Amino acid sequence: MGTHKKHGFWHRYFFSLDHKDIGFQYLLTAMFMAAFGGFFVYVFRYNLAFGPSDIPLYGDLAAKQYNQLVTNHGAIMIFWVGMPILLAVIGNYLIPIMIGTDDMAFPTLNKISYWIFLLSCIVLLSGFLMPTGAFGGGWTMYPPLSVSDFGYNNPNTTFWSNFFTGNTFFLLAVALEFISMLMGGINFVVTTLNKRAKGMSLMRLPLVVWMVNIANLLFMFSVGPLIAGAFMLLMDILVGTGFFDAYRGGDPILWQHLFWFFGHPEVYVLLLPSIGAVGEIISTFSRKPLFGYKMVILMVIIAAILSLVVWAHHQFVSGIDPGAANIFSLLTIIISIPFAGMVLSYLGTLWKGNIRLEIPMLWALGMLATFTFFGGFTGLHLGSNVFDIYAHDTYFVIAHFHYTLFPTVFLGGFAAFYYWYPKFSGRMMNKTLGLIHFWGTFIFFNTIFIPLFWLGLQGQHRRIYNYSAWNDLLMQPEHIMARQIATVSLIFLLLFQFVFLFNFFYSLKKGKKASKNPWEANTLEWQTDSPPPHGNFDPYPVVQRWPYDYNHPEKELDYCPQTES
Amino acid sequence: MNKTIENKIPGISIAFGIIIITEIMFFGGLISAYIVASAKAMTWPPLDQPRLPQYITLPNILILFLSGVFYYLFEKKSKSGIWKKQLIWTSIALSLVFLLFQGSEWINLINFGIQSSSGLYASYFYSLIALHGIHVMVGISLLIILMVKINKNKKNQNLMDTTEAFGMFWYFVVLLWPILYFLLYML
Repeated sequence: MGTHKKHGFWHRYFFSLDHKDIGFQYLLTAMFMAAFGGFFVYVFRYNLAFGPSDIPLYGDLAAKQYNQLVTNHGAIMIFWVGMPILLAVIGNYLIPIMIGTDDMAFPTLNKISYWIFLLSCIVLLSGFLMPTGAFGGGWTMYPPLSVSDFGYNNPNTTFWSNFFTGNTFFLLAVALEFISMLMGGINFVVTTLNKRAKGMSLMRLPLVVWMVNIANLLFMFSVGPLIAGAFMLLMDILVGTGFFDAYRGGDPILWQHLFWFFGHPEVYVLLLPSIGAVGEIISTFSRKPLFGYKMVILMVIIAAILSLVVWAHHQFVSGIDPGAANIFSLLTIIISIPFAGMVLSYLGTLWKGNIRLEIPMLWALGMLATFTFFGGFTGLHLGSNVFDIYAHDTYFVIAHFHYTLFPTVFLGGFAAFYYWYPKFSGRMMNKTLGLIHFWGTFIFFNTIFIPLFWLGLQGQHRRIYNYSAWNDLLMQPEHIMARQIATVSLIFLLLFQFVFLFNFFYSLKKGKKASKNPWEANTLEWQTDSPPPHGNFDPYPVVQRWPYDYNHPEKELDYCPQTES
Repeated sequence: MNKTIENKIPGISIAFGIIIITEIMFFGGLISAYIVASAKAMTWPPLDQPRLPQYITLPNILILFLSGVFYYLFEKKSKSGIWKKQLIWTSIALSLVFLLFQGSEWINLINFGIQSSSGLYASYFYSLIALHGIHVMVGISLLIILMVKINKNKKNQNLMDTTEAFGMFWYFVVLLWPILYFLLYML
């Protein structure tokens, strides 16, 4: 322990191998990328509601730029905000201190993974500087749209002119990001398996550690086909192979299979760490043991396996065999059973609990409510091919997946952030600002997407840049009104994030000092100082019990740390 | 020292196990795409494409396989603490022969008129061969890293774990080749 000394700024942020510093680097980078994602969505939503000219802070928006912004908004929010925050930040920061060890199994690999991640951000954003502009073919990169301008049917291009395009940079950025997440993921799994403190058996691991690891394994299991597809797509763009070129016998649908084989599990890769953190928070603030701990883990493993065989529900209108579509529908709907079990266990934890409505608890309850009620239930509708054919490519789908991903990434992410902030900074966050931030985000998030559900059912198509060009197409006053409500809500939602930013930096310097265990929780990270020193523990803990012994009948206090016998 | 639970499987083996699962899924994606493409085509290989040299390439399976066998012998000896470096050198030499053989065939085929842009068949052929070739190169570099580590320190427990983990990768590369050969040359 004595060998771990404090480092200076330069050493800490550029060469540190400490998992806490790397987690913080991931967090700042992801917040930086989230600012881009948020700005892009503001620009194109403003255009949809109030027209393409004179957008404040942007100017005029051309149709091509609209496509680029939509594409990059999707990709950034999923790959450069969701994945780093939920996998890398939660994994890096929490796994070592929750299992009671000093650092990752491979600290250098961890550092490299961050630098590759940073490089991927730079590559993605430099796509906007390319002569043909950033990639604008949708974040799913369906060919021929993602190839046609350059690779196919265009004899005037060379290898290098194809290389310096948004398409190539987009693909390279995604590839680099995956390499970084693979390195990080391997590290997390090895650390969890091999570096646990004495007495920390697998069934005594906190739920969030389980979830991050299952998510990582799921990611590594499903990403292979997408890497294969990305390689083929890159070859199509650069050297003119014909994997996805129907004219030369290739098959554009093949990309959709390879992409969605990864794409559907990816949703769960994002969901699991988030719902794991929410589970920790719900148990802590209900002062009750987590109801059905083993069942949750089992259910999640079942859901993870099922998620590998449902990918074609994204392709019901792509011309797949109707018989196959029925099977994929059935499998998709079956997946709701394990998730229902998980939600049941969380509700069981809340049931008759001694609930403390602290800020993290509000976020956790908000996540559980919106994810289940809006995200999950509309997923059941869309999973059925009968309904999906009607709703495909409408705003109903958009509202559905934002109701799954926004609670997952932001509501769950903020829950985790507010919960572990005292541990990470040694100070409490300002509660009033936290309340303002929560209600501002929660209310406006709902008023963005509920109108979009309705617009989708009215038939508003998701790929149209400007509705005013088609006057008979959803330009009734009520449709315009619904779009404007969504856009104004979005602007308010973004403005409320400044409250968070202010609170984040203000509390870092001026917040109330946090004790070791401000929430009176059981898990190991609360047994060390806030913030934990380099090396985390002194002496290293010995684990005696599972993490959810709240209100244990034999104990005087209503909580009982894992180190207590 | 940090007190931890007893390590049953060394970390590096877990890491390589995960990498190999990802690799299997990666090649699984490519191979299944290839099989579907060949099944959809009227004739496979397409009639206008030149045939591949099936029998000349056949010894190459043996060469790479032998390289794997030599590595296996090395690994077996290393468990009793004997580090036979000749065995690894043989393994590296054989895989280099494999690479040269396959590379020259590649160049010959390009001269012969099979180009990656000429159609689906050639696209798959070159991609799969090239990706496997890259894996062989990665494998060779792992073996060289292992040699360097052995020269530094012979009595290291980590060294045995490293040998085992690198071995997993090398066997994967070696065993993948017959599958690719069958699919690309015989089908």
